[in-house]
Parts: sequence; structure tokens; C-alpha cells
Amino acid sequence: MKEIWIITKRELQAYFDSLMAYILLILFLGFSGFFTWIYGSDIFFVKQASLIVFFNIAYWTLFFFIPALTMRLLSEENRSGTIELLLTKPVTDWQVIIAKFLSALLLIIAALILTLPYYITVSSLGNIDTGAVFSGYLALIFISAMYIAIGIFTSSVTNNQIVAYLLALSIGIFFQIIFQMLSSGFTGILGQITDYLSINSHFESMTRGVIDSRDIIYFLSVIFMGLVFAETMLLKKREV
Amino acid sequence: MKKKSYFGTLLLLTIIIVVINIISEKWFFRIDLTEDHQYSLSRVTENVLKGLDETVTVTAYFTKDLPPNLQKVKQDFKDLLIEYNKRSGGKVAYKFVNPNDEPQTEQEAIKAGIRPVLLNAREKDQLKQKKYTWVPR
Repeated sequence: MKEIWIITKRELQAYFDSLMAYILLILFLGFSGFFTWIYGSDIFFVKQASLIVFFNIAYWTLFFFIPALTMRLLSEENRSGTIELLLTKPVTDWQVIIAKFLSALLLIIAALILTLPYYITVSSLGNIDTGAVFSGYLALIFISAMYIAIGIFTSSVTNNQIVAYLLALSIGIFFQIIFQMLSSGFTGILGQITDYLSINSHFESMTRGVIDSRDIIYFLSVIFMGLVFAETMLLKKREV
Repeated sequence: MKKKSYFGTLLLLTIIIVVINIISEKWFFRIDLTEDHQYSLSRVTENVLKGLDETVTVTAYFTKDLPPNLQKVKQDFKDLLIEYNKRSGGKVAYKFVNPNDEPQTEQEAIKAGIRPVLLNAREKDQLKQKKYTWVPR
């Protein structure tokens, strides 16, 4: 546990030292704020005191920003060879993976906490449903964790950050939209499977305020699989 | 030899995860966090849904690209139907039809007693009068 926390702290510091964290926070808040409050079918246009607009925007902004956050985590270590140094230390592969996962997740949670003024503003504008907002934020944390797990896996595959970013995006786009498109094209069992795999069918009900055990198990499974795959890649490096 | 063992573990884990997901489809629970329990159904409704013998199809006629405040009505209605569908174990099916697609579907909607409604709509930066059908049936 202590080892995990040490690596997590180091990674978080690296984010803030390299301006990465500031750029990400500013861009995330800028994009989300712009589309939630100013442009498109924004909160004033919908005329409902709910944060669903924001959740649907963050659904896309997180999709683009998280791979940028995770692309560095293992690929940089692969490139510079520090991964070997790290692995000779008395830490297990799982500890390394979990620590890096946590560091990215903590940064995203910080970004989400910074959007709490949205909640305060909307709740002063109308009668907002606090339970639904809570469950919506939970949904955002789950999809973030899912993209971070995918991102860590793609980052472990390569030693090039750009390749890791693009790979993470292309895996992510399947969960984000392609499975959903496929599910509308198929019927029967194939349609059901693709619908189950698409994030949207799990994300939507959570932003409404309904927490379903199936959705949570889905998110946890994808997160777990992403981390297991990343760990396998590390194990392989150990053998060579 | 080594490579094979990785493959085996991964395959095993994937199968376990898939099985867990399939099991979770059967046994699940839902927590409704909304203040007025919008998405929880009453006991009576649940009994009716569970007692259905054959599939009931609900057809909803909604014009595409409704103004946002009516879009909300459509979304709420759809959410409710999804809830019915899940609770009844797939016995309640639903389809959303855009009556303005073809004249035939428009006729069908009118036959079912749904009349188009004229509404003011904001399109980009101008107000327009548009013909909308949005009464769910």
C-alpha cells in the first residue's frame, strides 16, 4: 500500500511539474463550460435545472482528454528504459499499474471537483435533483476509470506516446460509439451483446439517477481487464 | 512455453469476467437516487408487468428534432418505456416512429388519433412555425 502511494504521489507531481495537469484542467473546464453554458443546447436552452447537459458534454471531453493523460504513463518509461529500474525495485507489477492508475484517476477527480460550481449555480437557479447529480458524477468517475485502464494498457504496449494515444482513442471509440451503432444494426443475441458493450447504455441511466448493479459490474469488468492486460505486458518485459 | 501460460491466464480471466457479467444480467438490483423516485414503479405496475402473457408493443409517434423542452418529454417517455421493458423481462417492447418520414406513417398516426401540433421553434437564430407530432401513444 505504501509503495503504491509513493509511486502515485510521484506521478501526480510529474503531472503538475510538466504543466500537463494545468493544461488538461484548463482545457477540460473550458470545453465543458463552453458547451454547458454558452453554446448549443446548453442549460439555459433546455430550461431544466439538471446537469444532464454537462454530463453528456463531459462524456465526450473525457473521452478525448484521458488518453492524453495516460499515454505517457508506461510508454515513456519503456522508451527511456526506466521501466527496468522501476521493476528491479521491490514493487510488484500490480503495484506499479495500480499506482499509475490511481494517479490519473485522482487528477480526473480533481478536475470533476472543480466543476462543482456548476452544481451550485444550477441549484440556485432551480430545484435540482441532488441524488441524480451524485449518481451522474459517479458515472463520470466510472467512465474515466474505464478510459484510464484502456489508456494504461495501450501505453504499456508501445514506447511511443503518440501511438499509445491513438491506440487508446481507437479502442475507446468502439465503446463510445461503434458498439452502439452496431447494436442498432443487429437484432437478437448479437444486438444484445453489442448493446451491452456500448458505454452509452450503461452511462445514460446513471446520469438519470438510477444506479444499476449491472452497470457497475460492466465498468469494473472493463477496468479490471484493461489493468490485467497492462500487467501482462509488464510481466512479458520482465521475462526478456 | 512461457508465452502460452500468459495466454492461458488471460483467457481464463476473460471467461471468468464474461461469466460474471452474464450472471449479473440475471441477478441485479437498481437504486433510484432521484428525489421523487421518478424511475421506480409502483407495486401494482410491477405486478401487471410481471403478469403479462404476451409481448405488448408500444408505438410512440414523435417528430424528429423536437425543441428541447419537448425533447425532454420524449426522453422521459423513453426512459419510462426502458424501465417497463427491463422490469417485464422484455415483454414490453417499444418503437419510436417519426411520422414525418413518409406520408403513410403520418396517416397511421392520424388514424390512431394523434394530430400534429403547430409550435414555435428556434432554429439557429430564428423562430419558425413547424408542424410537430409529439403526443405519445
